[in-house]
Amino acid sequence: MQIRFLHFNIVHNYFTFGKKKEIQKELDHIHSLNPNFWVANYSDELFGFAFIRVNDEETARDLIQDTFLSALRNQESFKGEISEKNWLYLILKNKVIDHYRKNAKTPLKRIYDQQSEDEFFDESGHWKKESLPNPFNQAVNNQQHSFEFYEILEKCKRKLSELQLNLFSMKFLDEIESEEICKELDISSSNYWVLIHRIKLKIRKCIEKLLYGK
Amino acid sequence: MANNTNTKKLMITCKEATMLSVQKAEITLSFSDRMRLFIHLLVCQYCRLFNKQNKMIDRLLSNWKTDKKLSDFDKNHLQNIIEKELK
Repeated sequence: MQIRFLHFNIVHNYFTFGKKKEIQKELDHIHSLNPNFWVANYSDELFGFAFIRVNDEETARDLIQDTFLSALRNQESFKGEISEKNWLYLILKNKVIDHYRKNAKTPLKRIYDQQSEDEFFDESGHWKKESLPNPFNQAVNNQQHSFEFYEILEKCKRKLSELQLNLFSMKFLDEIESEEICKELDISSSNYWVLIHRIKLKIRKCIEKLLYGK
Repeated sequence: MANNTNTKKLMITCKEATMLSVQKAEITLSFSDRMRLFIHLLVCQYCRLFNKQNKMIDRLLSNWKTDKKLSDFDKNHLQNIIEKELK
């Protein structure tokens, strides 16, 4: 068994020779926390992660600050099983979910625009003339355009209500299961689909509009 | 939960078709719903377009990147907070 393991190691090292140093470096870092370097090493990345979810710079900044503080105060819970970076991400994810939850409990923000008239379909369920989808006039497919696309998406997200925004982030960015989302946001599954449907229609229309507006 | 088309008709409206195409990304539709959607997409160019764009949006969303960064001022502020806490 030992010989086999040794053999594996040799073969493994042989193939990963170039990467060996990197791997060793990673191993050295795995078990330690270096709070002094958190800001320099991770703050931008963590900020980007929070920002695309809450769509607000100030809220994202607050979340990062909270994350660092609770990480510092709970250093003893760090067992070194995961990297420092992943550990910080885990804490931030929890903070973001707490943020969704807090929003869901604010009664004013719970008004869905369900009762208002349908801006996309008429009574017989056909597309309204002004809402008919048009082809996007640019290839947003390739990498070059994707940053531009994300900028547009960011603007479009601002048109969503608070509830829609939270739902959007949970579903499309965090990829949380629908049952979990319904529980956290306290909505029924049929409401869930009505909201997702509406979000998709709104986002699609907005992307089309902004791509044309160029 | 999946079935929003309660009526058992073959032809569905655009509203129902777009709902099915949104649901399709997350859940397995029943056979009859898949048939309804398929037939609707055959005859309706607008929903066909919606379906295509919707898929594209989903794909782009799953690897959303941002080039937003913290300002130096914010970083200093955070660094100060951390150092204060460490003392």
